[in-house]
Amino acid sequence: MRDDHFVHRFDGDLDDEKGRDANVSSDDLPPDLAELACQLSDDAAFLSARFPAARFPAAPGQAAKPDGGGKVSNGFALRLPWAAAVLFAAVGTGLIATDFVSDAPLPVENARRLASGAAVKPVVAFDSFTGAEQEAVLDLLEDEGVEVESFSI
Amino acid sequence: VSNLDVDQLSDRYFERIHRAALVLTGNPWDADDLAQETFLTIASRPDAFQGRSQPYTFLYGILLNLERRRMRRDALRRRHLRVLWDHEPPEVRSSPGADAPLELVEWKKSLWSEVARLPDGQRQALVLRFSEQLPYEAIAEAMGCPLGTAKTRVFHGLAALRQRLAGRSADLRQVPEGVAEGWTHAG
Repeated sequence: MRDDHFVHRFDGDLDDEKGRDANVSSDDLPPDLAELACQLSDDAAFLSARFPAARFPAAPGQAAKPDGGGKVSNGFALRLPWAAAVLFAAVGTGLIATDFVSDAPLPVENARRLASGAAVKPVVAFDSFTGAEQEAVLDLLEDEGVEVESFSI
Repeated sequence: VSNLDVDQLSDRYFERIHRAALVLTGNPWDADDLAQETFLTIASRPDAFQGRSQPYTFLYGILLNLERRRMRRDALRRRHLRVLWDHEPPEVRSSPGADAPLELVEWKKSLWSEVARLPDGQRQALVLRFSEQLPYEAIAEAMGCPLGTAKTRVFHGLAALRQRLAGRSADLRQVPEGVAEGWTHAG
């Protein structure tokens, strides 16, 4: 499989190779380390030839234009409403779990904070979420910097 | 850096940045994300590049920072998922676990999967040297460290890799003999 996809690395556009060190294999390395270095280069060349880069979609300025819909802007456009919905669901579930219908006792720390009038971190319940949704919520909570007292599933 | 410049930068360097990201992450999807994030970062902070370094070393520097951040975030997420996973009854578990990283078979068979277990500094220095074939000066610039440190990280990285491989009987070398012979390093 490998030789079918192997492309000689330095046959490409020389401009892309700007800044490369022509003496990378001539470091003063012991033979065994030099062999490892050579193998690393070979493996990297194979991987990059086997899985080449897709074209960068568009400059961000262009991607923001309605007619310039590159992958980046479309991806954000598709993801944001869904992400907001998931976050809303997570926070809503957390509120429900903490304040409204949950029979489960609040964590002691939250109870103390409630008694003192301080802000309470939400308790997020993943009762009906799929694994992918759980992962997405974890991502969003982390990205948004939301501090969560505890998770329950 | 104007949008036009970002266009030019991406035309010229996207493939290189993607290659480094692929070797670092072990899968093309994360590599796509990281490479795109690198150029989005430079586009969102147009005054960050002061022209004191080569554009590609600056881009590599951004990539390395993003990759370190991603490693930390993924480790945190895996811990969270491990907690969730441990609470699932065994009968509904699938294999592998939800916290298993997504990696290419080809990457797992390559030496780069062993490099991935090295400390960040050594790992990234090896990528810049032997995947990207940067001179030590550029590696030091991209990693924000002195020249001697860059050389030390490369040397100790190789030595640590040799130590990891010591005692393993299987030859990890993937390149068929004919291909290996056709490979000619410049210099």
